[in-house]
Amino acid sequence: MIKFKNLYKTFDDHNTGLKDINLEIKKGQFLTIIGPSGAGKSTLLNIIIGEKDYDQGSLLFEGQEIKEMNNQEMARLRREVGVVHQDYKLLKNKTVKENVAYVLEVIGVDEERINSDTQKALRLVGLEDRTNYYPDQLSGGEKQRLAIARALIHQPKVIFADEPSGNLDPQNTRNIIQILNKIHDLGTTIVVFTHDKDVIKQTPGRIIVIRDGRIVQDDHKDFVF
Amino acid sequence: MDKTSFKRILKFGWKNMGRNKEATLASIFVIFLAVSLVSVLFLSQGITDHLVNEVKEKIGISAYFKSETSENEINNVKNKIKESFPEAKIIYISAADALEKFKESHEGEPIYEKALDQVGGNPFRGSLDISSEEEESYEEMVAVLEANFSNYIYKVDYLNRKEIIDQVFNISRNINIIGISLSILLIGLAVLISFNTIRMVIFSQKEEINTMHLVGSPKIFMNGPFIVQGVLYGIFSLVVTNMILIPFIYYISPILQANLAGFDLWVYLGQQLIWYLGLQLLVGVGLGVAATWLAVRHYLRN
Repeated sequence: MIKFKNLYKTFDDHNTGLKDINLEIKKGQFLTIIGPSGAGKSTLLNIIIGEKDYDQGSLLFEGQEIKEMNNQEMARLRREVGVVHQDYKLLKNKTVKENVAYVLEVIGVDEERINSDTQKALRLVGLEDRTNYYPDQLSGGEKQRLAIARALIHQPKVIFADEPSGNLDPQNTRNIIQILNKIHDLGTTIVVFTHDKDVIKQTPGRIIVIRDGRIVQDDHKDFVF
Repeated sequence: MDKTSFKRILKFGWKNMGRNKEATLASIFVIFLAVSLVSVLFLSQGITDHLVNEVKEKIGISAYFKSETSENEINNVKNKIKESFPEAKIIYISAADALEKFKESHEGEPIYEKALDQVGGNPFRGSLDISSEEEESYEEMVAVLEANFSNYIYKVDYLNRKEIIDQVFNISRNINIIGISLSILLIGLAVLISFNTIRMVIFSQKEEINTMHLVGSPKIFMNGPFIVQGVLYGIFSLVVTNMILIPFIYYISPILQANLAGFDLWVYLGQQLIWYLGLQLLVGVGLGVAATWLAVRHYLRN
């Protein structure tokens, strides 16, 4: 589904980029990418969603080179994936329901389906009683759950979650991971980027350790930073 | 773009405007100032034109006819001049009318009554008073009169008035230049202020635009609602401007009429209503749309 081959990224200010990334994410996987702050996790995510460019190597999304995508293809890719950002990136002027429905509205889905899918997604993340709230009226955990509902509403092929435990207490973190597990059970590929060792105790499947822009461990649950 | 997308863009724009009340009020206020300024300048131009034309009508040339020229012949000259100079305003004053006018204006002044008695009969001649809004017409008219109707014409009073005609036209030209320059300057300032205010408003929603971009929103769904907002800002400012300006014009019109050579601003507004509203729409909606479009485009590009 997603294939990195000898991918490099350097920054002008000599910040850690990515070095020789070789990685294949297969359909239906639950992948956790763990590494300390500054290891290159966010760079990896930003490159996948086309927010950052890469210098060398190849990155294929369903066989298509991301670097060669034009603006429209990139927008389509973003609609085919779901991203849960660390800072949530919610639309502050829209209600909970509108934030989730927005993704379907811009791709022309009919109102009836939007209403039923939005309700389902909000029920799945436990926000069905917050539909008319604005993001600023929600707690951190609720915002994170809203971001997940928005990421999954259009049934993306893959959901990326960047530091899903970042601003949350252990209880809320557990809830979020449970929701991601539930979505994974429904057949969606999940990729979690985290620095939190507690998160990987709760995530199933493959684990990748990234440090100083390099992949240092793959499929290894028993690791030490 | 399909009908559903269009309706959704309108809905997003409308809701976004309602939910950013402070930003909306600030934008409507600055566009209202620009639209009001343009409207006042438009109406002022009408007043200035009227006053300048009034003065222009007061000047002009007079062609005095020989005593033996009949009224038919004078009317014939009048018609010929009108054919060559359709824009000219020509008034025929018969010898009897001229005498009557003289008597009226000097009523109760024995010296003039005595002078008329001494001269005996009617010393006045039939004449044509000719005025034109085009300065260069005067010389041509004099040339036509002298070349074709010298048999009838006793005298054309032009050289005596040439200096004053030139002065009036110079003043009129200067008023126009000053008026247009001032209007351009003020409108330019209003546009700049409006542009920057709207850009600031859009800047406050920069994060929102970035988020739409990240969820893969098509461009039309990112800039469309903001453009709808721009259109609505323009329409609302136009409504507010006219809610204030039209009753004000209605109230002030009789006062102006009494003090500005009979200029009826209310009637003028009625006559120019399409231009007046068209200009307001162009400035209000144009400003709103252009400013929002440019600001959003800037953030989409970055």
